[in-house]
Amino acid sequence: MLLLAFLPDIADSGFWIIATAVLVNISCALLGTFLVLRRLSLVGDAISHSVLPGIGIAFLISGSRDPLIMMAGAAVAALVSVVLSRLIERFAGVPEDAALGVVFTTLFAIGVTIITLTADSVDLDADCVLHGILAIITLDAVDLGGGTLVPRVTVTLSVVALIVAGFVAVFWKELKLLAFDPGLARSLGGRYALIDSLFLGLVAVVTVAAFEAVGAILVIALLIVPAATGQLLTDRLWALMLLAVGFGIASAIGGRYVALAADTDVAGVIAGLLGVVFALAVVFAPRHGYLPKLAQRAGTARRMVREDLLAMLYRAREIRPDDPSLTRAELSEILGGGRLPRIAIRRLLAAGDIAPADPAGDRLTLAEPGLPQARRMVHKHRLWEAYLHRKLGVAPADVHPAADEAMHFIDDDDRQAITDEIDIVTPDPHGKPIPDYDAAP
Amino acid sequence: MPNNGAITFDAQPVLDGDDGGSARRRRRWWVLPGLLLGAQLALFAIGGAAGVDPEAEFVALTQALGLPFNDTVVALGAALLGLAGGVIGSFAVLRRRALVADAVAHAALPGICIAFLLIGQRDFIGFAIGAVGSGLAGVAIIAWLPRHTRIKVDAAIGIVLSVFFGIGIAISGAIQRSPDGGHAGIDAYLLGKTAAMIPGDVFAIAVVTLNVVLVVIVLYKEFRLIGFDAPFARSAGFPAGVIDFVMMATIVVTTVIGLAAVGVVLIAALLIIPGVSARFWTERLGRMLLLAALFGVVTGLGGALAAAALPDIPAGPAIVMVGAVIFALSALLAPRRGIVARFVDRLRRRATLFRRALLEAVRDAGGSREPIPATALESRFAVRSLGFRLGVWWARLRTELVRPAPNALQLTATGRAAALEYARARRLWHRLLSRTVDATRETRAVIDDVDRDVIDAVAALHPQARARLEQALRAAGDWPDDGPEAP
Repeated sequence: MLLLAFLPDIADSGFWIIATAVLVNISCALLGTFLVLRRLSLVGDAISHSVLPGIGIAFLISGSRDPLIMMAGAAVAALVSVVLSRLIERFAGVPEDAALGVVFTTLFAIGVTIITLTADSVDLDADCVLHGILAIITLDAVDLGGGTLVPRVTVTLSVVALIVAGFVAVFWKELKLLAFDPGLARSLGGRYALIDSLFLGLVAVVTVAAFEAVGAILVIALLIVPAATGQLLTDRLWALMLLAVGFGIASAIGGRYVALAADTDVAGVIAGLLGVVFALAVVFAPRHGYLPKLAQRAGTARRMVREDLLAMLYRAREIRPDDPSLTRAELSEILGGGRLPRIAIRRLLAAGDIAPADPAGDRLTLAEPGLPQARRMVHKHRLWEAYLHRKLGVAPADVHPAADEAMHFIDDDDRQAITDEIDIVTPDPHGKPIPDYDAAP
Repeated sequence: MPNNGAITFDAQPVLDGDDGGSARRRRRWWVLPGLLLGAQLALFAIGGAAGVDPEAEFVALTQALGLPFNDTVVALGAALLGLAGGVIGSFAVLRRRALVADAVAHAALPGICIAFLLIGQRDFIGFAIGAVGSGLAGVAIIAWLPRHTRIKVDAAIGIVLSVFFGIGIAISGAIQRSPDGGHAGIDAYLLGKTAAMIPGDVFAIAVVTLNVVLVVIVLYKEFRLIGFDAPFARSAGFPAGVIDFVMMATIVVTTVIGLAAVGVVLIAALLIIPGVSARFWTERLGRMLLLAALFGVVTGLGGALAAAALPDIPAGPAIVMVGAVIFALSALLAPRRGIVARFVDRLRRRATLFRRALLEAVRDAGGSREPIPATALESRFAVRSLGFRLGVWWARLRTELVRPAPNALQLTATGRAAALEYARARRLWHRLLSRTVDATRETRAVIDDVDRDVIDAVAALHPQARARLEQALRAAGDWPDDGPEAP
């Protein structure tokens, strides 16, 4: 409710602009969540492109510019484009994206032709279809009683938002199933097919209702971007939906103020803001963002190099008990060179897991605190080698590279499972003993 | 293990270095395009130095031919655009990226607006550079998002399309409200003014088309690999990222050059429709590209000529509608992949299955030797239905069945052979399945269900396997046999 503080006075046109944008965004975010989850984003694309021909054809047939007739025409065209592309997909074996592309470009061409042919008698402005008229919605207002003039678009969108919210609330369970297990939903038959059709119909209705306010193309942004952003931030459906609605509302309010400051088109700014929030989520989102993923990957790489290094020093101890040290250069070469071995050496020295073996500090050896972990790594390595050789019949010469990777990812459960399958007293395929995992230092 | 003091580890992974070999095998793919580009630049330089003006030459040529000038310009431009769009669009279609062209066309807007802000006036080259720049950024994002995040490719296309377009609208809004913004001409750029094409535009389109075709010829092998199996191309050591980028860049350039001619939505059509239509007619990529080029040229030419003949119809939409007609004809009439061909094929399949079942039923009812009443088949067919009568009619037409009396059926020699073949295939199939799977109640149901296609299934058996199964059936006394043929 903090957001209410940003609302201008009801007499101000800004109030209605923000209210309308918020309503559009709520409807779009609610349905867009399922569009994105069901990988139907392109359907939203096709529907929004069919608005123009729908309006043109509605005008051609009815000869009237009544907004309701226009909306009905657009909704019908939207459904025709979806149904037609599905038919082409099914009966002509054309991939979904190509089928949609063929259908909506053709419909658009028909729409432009009709509008051009009737251009003299009507100001069906292609510009308006592109931009929407959010900034001037208060020019076309109706009195709902009480003396307050409410923009017609706002009234329409309130009704649409209520219908959408009701639909999502009532059919929550079914929509969820359609999104996460479409195969099961299909096998359950008629009821789900009906709800699916209703859903697509509602997407068409929302797109059509919204295009007057924000333009046909930007509807796509409102449908897809908030849900895609939410998808990067959560794995729960209800949280995803709340986030999508939240982003929608925030961008509607923010869009108005940025547009005022920069003296430009509100709808464009709203789409731009949604894009900025999405970009931030792509980069910084905790689990699915790019940077955290990079950081996690880098962390894993460093851990692997540390563990490799400890295992190397352990083997050096085994082979040359009298001189168990290796030079920094040797270690670095064995571990693939570059920055990672240097960082690993620094970390392990600081932790006391390894220690210098000569006064100059060039030769390094395993220290007492690092011994248990080093032994465990070698244990896992040889355990996996033994398993590959004895249970899966991999030749001894081939087991090493696989074990070198696997040893970093064998946890206690895996280890227990392998230990149950093979005896660990017998040496590994190269004839080396598998060291005791839990030995005292 | 002998140890002489040297450090050895659990195993020494010995990998034969074939890096040198693969480096030698790797094609220097950039050499040829570089040469071709250089040759073009040299031609331009020579032409410029010699004072040849291609635009003037073109005008002179048109006048010499006595063609209506404007219509010729538009038709030529549209045909060339269709050629380029058809060729490169085929790859977009094959890569399931058909709508990338649409996204790029929308994503070009902010680039155009920024170019306007920087230059301060309408400028074809400036607009084109801005549009290509933001188009490439959009394509790169579409390629990057699904690979590195959980965003799916369809959402990525939608996001790039709408967010870029929104930013463009915002910038253009600011431009139009600024004092000298009125003549930005951005809307014209977006919606396209096909009929207003000038020889300079056609020349630019011709250069782009030539280069698109050259790129596709030079990188044919690479494009084919990426188009059909990008992961394989990557694993086989092709620089898949680079090739993909070149392919997408070609799409971007074609889209941008077409934007000015036919507008945002309609250029997408020129990239999608010829390729999708060509796909119906052939399974071979080379033929598909040639056909797509042809369809593109016919689309552009036909649309432009139609618009010239019918002055009320705008040229851009006319072009797309001609394309739609070509698509509809291809989708309906193409052999094998077309809707009619598929329908006929399905019908024939069903009819064949029905005929086989009918012959076998007549055989089971004893119709091999003597006429049986049709009512004897009542447990297996709705004998009064039209379908049944049609089936009987067809079998009679093929002389597999005769009707000695109005309500009686008997197999001919041909029919007996066909029925026998069917019965045997069925026994073979049952034998095969009951030996491979446990014949529980559920699997029996599956076996009976598969029954319908037994002839095809058995035909695919290896002859030896078939012979072994037959032997087993004979040994079990379960092999259908009509005995010696009746004289």
